[in-house]
Amino acid sequence: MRGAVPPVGAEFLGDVSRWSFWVAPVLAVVGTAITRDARWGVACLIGAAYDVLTMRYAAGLAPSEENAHALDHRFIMVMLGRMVGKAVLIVAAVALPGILHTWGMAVGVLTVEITMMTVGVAVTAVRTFGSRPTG
Amino acid sequence: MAQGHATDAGGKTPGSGKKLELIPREFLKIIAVWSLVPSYMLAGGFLGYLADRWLNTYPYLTALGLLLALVVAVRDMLRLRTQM
Repeated sequence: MRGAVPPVGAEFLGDVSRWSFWVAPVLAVVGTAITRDARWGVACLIGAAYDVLTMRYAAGLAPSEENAHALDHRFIMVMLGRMVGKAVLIVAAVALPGILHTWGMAVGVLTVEITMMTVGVAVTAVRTFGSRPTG
Repeated sequence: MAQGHATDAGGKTPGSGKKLELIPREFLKIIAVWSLVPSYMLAGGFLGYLADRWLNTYPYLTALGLLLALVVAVRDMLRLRTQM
């Protein structure tokens, strides 16, 4: 469908979690290089692993193309639970400053969102505008 | 129906019969929802960090700012969901 915005359903969330798998190590390496602090990378990878794995699980409950309007109650609860888990991880990073870096964890638990805002928006823009004839 | 030259957020010109669709409304909504959590957390963390530097309490207020930002982001995401 030319020029159509793809729906944010199970398929797209699955794509995002796959892209996040590659974005997470990039964030960890770049952050560690900038801060020169291994705790940053460790915290970022732990947060990213949680974020990506829970998103993969949530993608399985998201509405698919067949039932686009079925917004499962479990899906919403899982998404809210993800947020609570992120809060727990940030608190853990604050409580364990010798092992984990607070900002590294904050970036790590945002891996999926960062992927959506970068790769996701770029892919959506290409799908939406890319095949449209100009002029 | 009133005719006008102004375009709405979806990039459509009312009454012109031609859809410009410079930025489709659905695309704007998707970006808005995706941007909520990171932008709120960046703002909350930054404000907490400034307070931490002022009061010498790092990283407690930074963490508090991040947690508050998460809560507000969830609230606003649920609000947006009901509006869509």
